[in-house]
Amino acid sequence: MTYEEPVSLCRTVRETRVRQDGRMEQPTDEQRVRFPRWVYGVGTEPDARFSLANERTFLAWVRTALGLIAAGVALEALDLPIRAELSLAAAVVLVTCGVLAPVGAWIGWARTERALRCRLPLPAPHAFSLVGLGVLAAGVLVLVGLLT
Amino acid sequence: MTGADRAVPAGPADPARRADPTVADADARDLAFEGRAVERTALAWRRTALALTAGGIASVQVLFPLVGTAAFLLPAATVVVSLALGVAAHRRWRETHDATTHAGQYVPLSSGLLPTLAAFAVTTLGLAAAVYLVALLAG
Repeated sequence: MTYEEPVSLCRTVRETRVRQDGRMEQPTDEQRVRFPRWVYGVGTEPDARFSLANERTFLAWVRTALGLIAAGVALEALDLPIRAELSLAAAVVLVTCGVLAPVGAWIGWARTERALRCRLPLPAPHAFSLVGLGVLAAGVLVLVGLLT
Repeated sequence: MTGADRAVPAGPADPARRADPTVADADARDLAFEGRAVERTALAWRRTALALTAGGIASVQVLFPLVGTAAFLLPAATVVVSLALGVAAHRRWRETHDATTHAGQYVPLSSGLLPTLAAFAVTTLGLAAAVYLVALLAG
């Protein structure tokens, strides 16, 4: 999970300046860096369309996480003809993915936004394999639970 | 936004570029495309807020037998968060839309607070689901 980026290409927007009297210069409203600083504190504004697309991708992940959580809870809340222990295992896998997915989505959003600001290649979507494997495992568990 | 702001003609901000019909056309198409992108993003926020509310409300059905009236805390929280997300996303859509269609500029997004709030809300919902599963395991 390492992502090397050439630091020299991505400088901070503004350097903290120390005034002659030794005190730190207070930033004006325009200079104030937006949250999170490690994203907005570097590079320059990208094309707004790229930022918007990045944001929509994040939101799609959030909705996917909601779907995973709902599926996990439904497996236990509904009276389904699935072997109890396998259904519970599938539910645990789905809810775990549902908890991790928004966190991964947020990290992915921030890293992508940072890469866009720095005109760097986009980071790989790590959460893909996690959620993909999780859904696959849950599907196999449910299938086996249905058939046995 | 005042009426004076809205009166600014559409097209590139630079008058020299606005005078060139090919550039003006291309920029207008760009801005129209951007307008759609802004709209798609606002809709994505709305869908997400709706899904979050639905998830929170559905959780009452599952949690009420376990924790009683406390089960209403989660939907209350999700409704508040969804409303906040909806209102903030709408305000941002308005601002971005006005800037792109009236002033002919691309405006940067405001900050990462909204994505953080959304991720936090869904993670909380997921943790509640995890607690439910643990309660099932224990009981």
